[in-house]
Amino acid sequence: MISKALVAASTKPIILSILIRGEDYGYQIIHRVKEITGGDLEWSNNMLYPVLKRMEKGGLLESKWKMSKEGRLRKYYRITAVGRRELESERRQWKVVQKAFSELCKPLPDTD
Amino acid sequence: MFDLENEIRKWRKSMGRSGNLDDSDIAELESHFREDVARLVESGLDEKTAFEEAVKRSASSKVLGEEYWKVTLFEQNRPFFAPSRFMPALIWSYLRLAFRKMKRQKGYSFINIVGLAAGIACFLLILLFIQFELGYDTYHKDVDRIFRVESIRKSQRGMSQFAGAPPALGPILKTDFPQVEYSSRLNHLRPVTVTVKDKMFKEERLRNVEPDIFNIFHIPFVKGNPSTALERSNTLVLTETLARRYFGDEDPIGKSIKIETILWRTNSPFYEVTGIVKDPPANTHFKYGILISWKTIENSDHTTSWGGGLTTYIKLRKGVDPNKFEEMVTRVAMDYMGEYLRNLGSEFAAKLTPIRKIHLYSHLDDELEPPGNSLYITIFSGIALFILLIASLNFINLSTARSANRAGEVGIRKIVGSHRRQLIGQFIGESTLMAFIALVIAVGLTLTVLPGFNQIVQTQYSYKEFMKPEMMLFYTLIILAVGVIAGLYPALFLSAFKPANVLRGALRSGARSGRIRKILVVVQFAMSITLIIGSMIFYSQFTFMKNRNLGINIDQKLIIDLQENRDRINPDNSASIKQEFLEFSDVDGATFASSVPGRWRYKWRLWPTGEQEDNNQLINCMQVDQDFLKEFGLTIIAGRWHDEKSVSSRIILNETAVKAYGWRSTEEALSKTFMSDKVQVLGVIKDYHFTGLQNQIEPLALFNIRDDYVYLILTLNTADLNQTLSKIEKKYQELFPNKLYQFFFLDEDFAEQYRSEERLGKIFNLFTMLGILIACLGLFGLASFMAEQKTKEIGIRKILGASTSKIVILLSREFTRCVLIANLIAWPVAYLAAHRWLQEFAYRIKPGAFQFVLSGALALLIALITVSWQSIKAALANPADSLRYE
Repeated sequence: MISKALVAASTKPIILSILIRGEDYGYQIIHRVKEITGGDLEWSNNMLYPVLKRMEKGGLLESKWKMSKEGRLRKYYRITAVGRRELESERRQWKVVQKAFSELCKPLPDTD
Repeated sequence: MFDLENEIRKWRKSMGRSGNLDDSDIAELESHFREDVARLVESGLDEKTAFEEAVKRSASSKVLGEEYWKVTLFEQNRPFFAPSRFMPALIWSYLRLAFRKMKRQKGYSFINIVGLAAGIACFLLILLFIQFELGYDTYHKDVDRIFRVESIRKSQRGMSQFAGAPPALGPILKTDFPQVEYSSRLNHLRPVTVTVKDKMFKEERLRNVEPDIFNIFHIPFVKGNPSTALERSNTLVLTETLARRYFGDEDPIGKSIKIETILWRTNSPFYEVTGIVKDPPANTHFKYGILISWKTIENSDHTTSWGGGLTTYIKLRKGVDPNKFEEMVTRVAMDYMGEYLRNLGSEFAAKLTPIRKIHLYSHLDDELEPPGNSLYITIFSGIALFILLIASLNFINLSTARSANRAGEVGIRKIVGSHRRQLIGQFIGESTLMAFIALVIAVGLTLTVLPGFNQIVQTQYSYKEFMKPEMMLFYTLIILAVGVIAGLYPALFLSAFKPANVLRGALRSGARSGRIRKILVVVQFAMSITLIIGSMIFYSQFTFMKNRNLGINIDQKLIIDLQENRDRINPDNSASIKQEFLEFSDVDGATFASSVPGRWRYKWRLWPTGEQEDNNQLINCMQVDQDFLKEFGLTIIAGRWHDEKSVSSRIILNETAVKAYGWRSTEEALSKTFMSDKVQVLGVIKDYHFTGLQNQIEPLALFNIRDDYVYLILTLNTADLNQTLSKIEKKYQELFPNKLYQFFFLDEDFAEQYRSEERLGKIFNLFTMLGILIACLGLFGLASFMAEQKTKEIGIRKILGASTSKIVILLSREFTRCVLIANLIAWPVAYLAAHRWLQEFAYRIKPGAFQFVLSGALALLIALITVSWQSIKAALANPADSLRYE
């Protein structure tokens, strides 16, 4: 299980990373995340939507209602220029954390 | 039968219940929900189970509602518990509250605002004075390129500087130096009589100038043409004031004026008016009444020789370096005057002084107008700053003290959600508002006292000075500075309160701010005491100068100015002229002289015969007659005084002259002669002051040559001065028909030399008193605040048996201590300042401990009186009243 704090921190960069590959809608985003992580990271079904809404208000995303082939109405999200910049900065930050971790996770040198 | 659409409709309705989701949000959630159900059905569940599973998976409307609510809140970018930052209604409430508070605390607001207003008003007035002094001669166009050419003469005996340049240098500046754009010499005439249609006027500021003067200085013409007005000989230009005085409403152009001067007797005394110019402003060193063409005196010795000096102005071309130019002029001038200087054994160097520096920084002997003194600019800037500080400290102190009473208000405001920022804003806003009111009053006050101030300082300011844009900037700065500083402390202090503590009453009375308040009181009083000491020393020095024994008796002396009649007095008739006046019973004595104490004397360089070439001294010279010694009560200390006979071969020296020549004793002086044995030293007199006490006594030589008398000195002994004066005037008219009668009293005339000191003394006293008054006003406010704070303490003490006097002492003790500490700070500061100021005087008092202790005591007394009003009131109050409400 991933802790609540970490989920909260990672939601935004993950959404941005998914949407940079192309527009998508909420249900599909949740599924993608579940697939990628092999079910380790499972966002609660519709807790995603307030986050999407906030990001849209913040100008990171823009949205459009579309009719699917199956005849379902879906709200598709697309990343904006601001969102791309934001992702850029998020990636840098995560890399720093990642680097710190990978350095620290190396086996300890033998000490006499 | 399970109806999916119906169930979804119900689910949708429940989602809307939280109220935080809009239709679009719900639509999106529904789309997700339907997707979920569809997938579950695909995986083999029936519709009902799939629906139930989907509901289970999705969050409840309550949780979702909260999530969505957060989104709306973050949209406004502040946490949900904070009210909005900008509330216009609140500002209105603050304003109303501020005014209400002022109304309720009338006394306090009065002290606060009036004190500050008085402080600002003083500051404004002093600022005017300083601006005036610093603004001297700045109104000329390209003022930075205008210089006065001065000369420095160096010989083995030292160096001296004169405001004039050799007269012959003037034309050379024009012909030999392309760097000079314009140049004009100026010949300053002694006061003369001007006759216009049989009416006589005494005029002081007559100047011969070259036509270029109008290109150098800003002298606007009202009538006439600047380029032709002074082209011909015997033409002149008048100021508007003089034109009106001489000709009234008539057009003066082309009219004739008679001026008789002894300088060029051969010329016609009639002059044609060719132009009218505006009067010179008050703040210029170059003042003029009548400007006479240079052509009139062009070929006289006076204007063509290399000796002597004439004030010379030049305007350099753009980009000319004045220092380099100085050197060039020096070189060229040395070429021209080499032989002349070698004979004198001296060297010449030119010096350029920017005209805007002349008033404050040039104190040469031959200045056109009495110069200003940059020291006084410093002194008055200091006073201005002191007063403004005293007033601001008052304001800060009282605001801080009072603000403690508002802890309750702050507590309530905080509880209902005031930001700290808002509270700070409120306090600063309030004090800024008060500063603004104070400023408005201050400007009003300044305008009211301006006429009086103009009279004392002898300036002509109008209200316009206060409406200039730079003043507006200054006003804003003052309001903001005082408002913010005064508001900041209470603002930071009070806004940091924990509302719970305040409301529980843990923080009453601003006790913690007590120490800072005391420090401010100490600072205030230190400044006040410094001012008191300053004005005391000022006064002592002034009375010292007025009362010092000059070594010469100048009382009861009526002086008749005979300058116009110098050619009518000669060795043969001088005795009989004196006799005419001595016949009056109320005239005790009469004597002629070429100068009297405080008036101009000429100076000669005198070489003692047989001594080394370089032992020549610049000696003040005077012609006197044999009665001079007796009439002025001088003392002979060696040799003897002049005989009745007028002889050019004998002089009397003063002690300083003997010392200057380096002779060992006054007796040795008697064996000396001057000018190759032609002049012999007859006697030595005791030193006496013939100039004001700012100056050292200089060497003096008295001749008994009766051909250049300027003054007739009459010693009066009269009960009816008016009658005596009219008798003397009648006699004068009889002896010198058609000549202007001019007289003065010697003691008054001598005191004129102290007029600038007297004037400054008056300003100083005025501002000292105001400064103290403002400080006391503050102290009064503070004392009343303290008494109020201690009402309960006093009540209890009284009940327990304290006497009234004990309580008065209790309340006064603290302030007494403050004032005593203030003394310790003020004394050294005042001593240093006074010491520096006294350096300006050759004869000066020593500041004594007396002035310091007295000033301190005075300050203490004033403080105690101020405080006692409140403390006695508090001490006499009935304890039952003060304790009733507890």
